[in-house]
Amino acid sequence: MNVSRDLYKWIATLVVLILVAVVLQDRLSFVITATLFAIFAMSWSFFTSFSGYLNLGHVIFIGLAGYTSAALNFHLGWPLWLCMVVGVAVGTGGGWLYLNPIHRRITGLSFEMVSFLSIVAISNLVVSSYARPLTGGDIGLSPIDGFFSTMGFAVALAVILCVAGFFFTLYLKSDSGKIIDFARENASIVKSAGTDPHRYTGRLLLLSGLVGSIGGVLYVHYSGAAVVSNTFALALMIRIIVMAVIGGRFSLRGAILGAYLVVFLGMQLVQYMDAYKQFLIIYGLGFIIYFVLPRGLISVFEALWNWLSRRVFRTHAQAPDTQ
Amino acid sequence: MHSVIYVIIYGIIFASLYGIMTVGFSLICGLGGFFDITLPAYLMVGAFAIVKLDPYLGQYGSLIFVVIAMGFLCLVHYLVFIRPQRDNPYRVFFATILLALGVESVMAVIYSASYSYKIAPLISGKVDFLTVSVERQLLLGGVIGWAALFGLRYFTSHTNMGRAIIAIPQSVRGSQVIGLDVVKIQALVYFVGGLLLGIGAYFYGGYIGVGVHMWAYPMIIMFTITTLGGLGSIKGIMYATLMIGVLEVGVVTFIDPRIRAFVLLGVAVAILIYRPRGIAGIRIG
Repeated sequence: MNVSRDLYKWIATLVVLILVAVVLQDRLSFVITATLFAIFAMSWSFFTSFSGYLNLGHVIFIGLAGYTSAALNFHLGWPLWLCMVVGVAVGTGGGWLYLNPIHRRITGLSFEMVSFLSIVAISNLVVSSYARPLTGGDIGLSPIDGFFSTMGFAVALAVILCVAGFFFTLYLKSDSGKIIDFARENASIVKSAGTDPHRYTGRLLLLSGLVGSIGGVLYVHYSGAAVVSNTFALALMIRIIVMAVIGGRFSLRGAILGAYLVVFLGMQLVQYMDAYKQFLIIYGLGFIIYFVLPRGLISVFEALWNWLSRRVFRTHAQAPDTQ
Repeated sequence: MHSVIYVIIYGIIFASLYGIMTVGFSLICGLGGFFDITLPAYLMVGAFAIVKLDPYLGQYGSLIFVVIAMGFLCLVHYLVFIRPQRDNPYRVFFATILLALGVESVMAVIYSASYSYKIAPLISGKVDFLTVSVERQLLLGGVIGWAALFGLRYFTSHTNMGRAIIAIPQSVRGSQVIGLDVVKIQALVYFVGGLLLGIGAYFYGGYIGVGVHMWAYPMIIMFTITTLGGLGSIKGIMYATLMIGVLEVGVVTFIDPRIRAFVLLGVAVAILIYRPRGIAGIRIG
């Protein structure tokens, strides 16, 4: 396991993200939104791609964390940092305690459905009048303390994203990661060897949920409100999936690329057309990309890098680095 | 007592509407071992087609034309988008999500997201059924829906083709070894599923109104009933759709319509956690 090589790659990724923020200083809101969605997409891809479980309930982490933080700030007036810490703890713990037993008991399509139905059920509960005293119902919780579109915040998000990505990479290349990689296709062999693969996928889910929760509290406080549309919404979950798939499902940097591409494409298109025409172009493009490049757009960059390595650095072509 | 009869009657009627939309979806998903998200979006397309063709073909003409066209649409959809990647359920899932969202966007661009259209009923008026007033159109939909479900149940248990459709998900390799043409059977199921979606589009669209976002709730219902009933099980679909229909109307009538999705889906999730295969599901090979 070459830690320094992975570290340099993530440092390079951080430099690129900061450069993007510097170049697009007049559009920092898009840069920040793209980075937040990159955190969501990367954390989702980390569990789904490498465990083999298609988790359609990732927004449970985001929503629980975001709403907890917002509720503490809105109702009790707690300081922002404390609300966020508690929010992350509740989001990670609550989401993991719900999804982990389910993924241990249910596999395949049934797990997808249970996670999918769960977020729809929770969304309905959150906007109902029963939950209104706590969640604000369909209006949500606002105003809450928040962040502004500053260069400092954009850089901080990029750092969080790359640090999380680096630790995800380390985990995937560790012994636990290798077991998960093998168990994805050969769960019965792993079980026969006396190892419970769910123990490892459970850890993957916890780490994925932790980063998703961090993204959730940051997103809610950047948005200035906790509403279903930026927390538990099915539309948010689908958007995260689309970004990860377009960028590259088995690649952490692919998820980041997908998030930036979708947000920036939307940013360009919004000047010329309404929302549905934008969606048509984005999803149409995503569909074409998915058929032409099943491994996502990141595969183009990997091929380019291999070509450069052969021509410029005169090294042998390497297998695609999925992390 | 009147409320209880109301819940039972309307629950059974809605169960049939949901059932007729879901049964094709369930057979397709059970046969393939994947979820095709585009099918609920095609329900919306079918409903729009009925509305827009009505002035040209008349009520009966537009209904018959759209039902058959939906069958062919789903068949072409299978041959072009699904067959090349049917061995990878995740690829199918992701591709069909993108396609479904693209279809919705196209329809929103053409017809505007905010408009809602009405489908003219085949038979108007109401009828009193056990002291409960029911729209004739809705009753017709209920009768047709349950007839289709019982018909399919008979087909899958008493015909060789039907048994093949149920058998394939249990072991695709085994089915191929004994000479079953899995691709041809999947294509047939897609075609029949499309026909049923067309019928469902007419009655569901007629009740709820036709709009660009009308497929979102049916998608949730289809998923719920499919997994609750068990993939590929007609018997399971019948039990699950009845449960969901009666429960939904019950919650709206006796509890609170604002939390109907929470109660419905909460019950479904609880049942699935206890019994992951669903009420009458078969093990997918």
